[in-house]
Amino acid sequence: MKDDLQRTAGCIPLERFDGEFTPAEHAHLAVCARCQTEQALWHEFTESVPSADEGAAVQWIAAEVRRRRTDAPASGKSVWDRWRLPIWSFRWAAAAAAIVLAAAIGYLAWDREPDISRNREDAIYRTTRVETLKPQGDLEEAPRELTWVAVPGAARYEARVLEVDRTLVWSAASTTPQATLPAAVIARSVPGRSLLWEVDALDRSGTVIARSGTQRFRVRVKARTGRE
Amino acid sequence: MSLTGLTDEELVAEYRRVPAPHRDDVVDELFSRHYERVARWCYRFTGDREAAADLAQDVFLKAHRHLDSFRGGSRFTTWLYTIVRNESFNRHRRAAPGPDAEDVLADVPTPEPGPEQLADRDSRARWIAALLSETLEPVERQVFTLHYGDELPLEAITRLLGLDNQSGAKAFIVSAKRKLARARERLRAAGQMP
Repeated sequence: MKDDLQRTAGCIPLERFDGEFTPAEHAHLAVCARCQTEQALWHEFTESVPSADEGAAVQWIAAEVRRRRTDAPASGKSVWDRWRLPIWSFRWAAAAAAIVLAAAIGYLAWDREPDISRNREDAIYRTTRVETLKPQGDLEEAPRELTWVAVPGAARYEARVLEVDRTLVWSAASTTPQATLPAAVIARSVPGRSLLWEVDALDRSGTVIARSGTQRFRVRVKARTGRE
Repeated sequence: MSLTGLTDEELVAEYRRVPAPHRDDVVDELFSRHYERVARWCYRFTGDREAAADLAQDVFLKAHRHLDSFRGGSRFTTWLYTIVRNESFNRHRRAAPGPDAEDVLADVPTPEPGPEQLADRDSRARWIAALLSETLEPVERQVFTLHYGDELPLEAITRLLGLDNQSGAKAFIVSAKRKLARARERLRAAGQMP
């Protein structure tokens, strides 16, 4: 059955779908489930628009693909090389990280007197976590901003608010450890409805150096009084 | 010259014409017109944002690699569609086990397997095509073809075909199988089935 539903030599080439069909192609299309299906898919690709529930996801994906392409430094390379650069960069970064990690483990394992001169707070510099401040948990009113603890070495932050199914609601970049929420996002934070938020810290090259976990918040549903 | 005023096809011609250092700008303009369209397809195909972004990136990589092969025999959008479609389906074929085809084989009539027919796959394919065409509604045919021919999951078919009924592609598969089972009984009664 599967083989019987594949394209055959008589099927219409996909590239022909935007042209005028010949009488023979019309006749074939009338009885060929495969070509009818291909035409329906082609039509969906060329003509349809995102539905309301997929619009945010589509915008995120398009932005992500654009970002992957444009974030790579041009430096005279071809576009093809620029597309590939993040993958190579990642591999080199991973190899470098492994070497640094091995060296760090060796250094820490080296039997030596503890260094009491180092500031305990230095530890936070090695973290890959952005410590979020607010909003978190149940709130009395809709939050106006997102705040977190500044990450050393961060040149900017990318914050985003998401639905609980992780559909992107809003995102913004900030050079300070806070982001003011627009009215449209505040309006979404109706009592009882949970939203998520996250923030990434990036260095000057645009590399993510720390991420927050996913935070959840919602405006508490106020109990009705007997007189209401 | 402003690139924004050019059609997609004119941009590809411009891509061929300009020296290599200027080609990036042309590709940027050309691809920027299609990011959302490709993103939408990839999201519908995968149902997952990260997977869709990876798929879309591969599509644009391939489009760029083969941009010189575009000769204007179709609109650029249609040419891009062939890449999107093939990349998606190939990836799915490599990754996913398909639906259990044996179940549906029991319900789908097959022609009397005479010696000539056994030797002629096209003949059988035409017979099946005619049967599907006579028995099923257009959307049922499409869902049936994608599910059993390409082994796509019903959720992906629902999204790809933009089906907005409550149970999506599943409803069409159920009705298609029911109609094909009835057709089998009719053919059997007429002595055209084993």
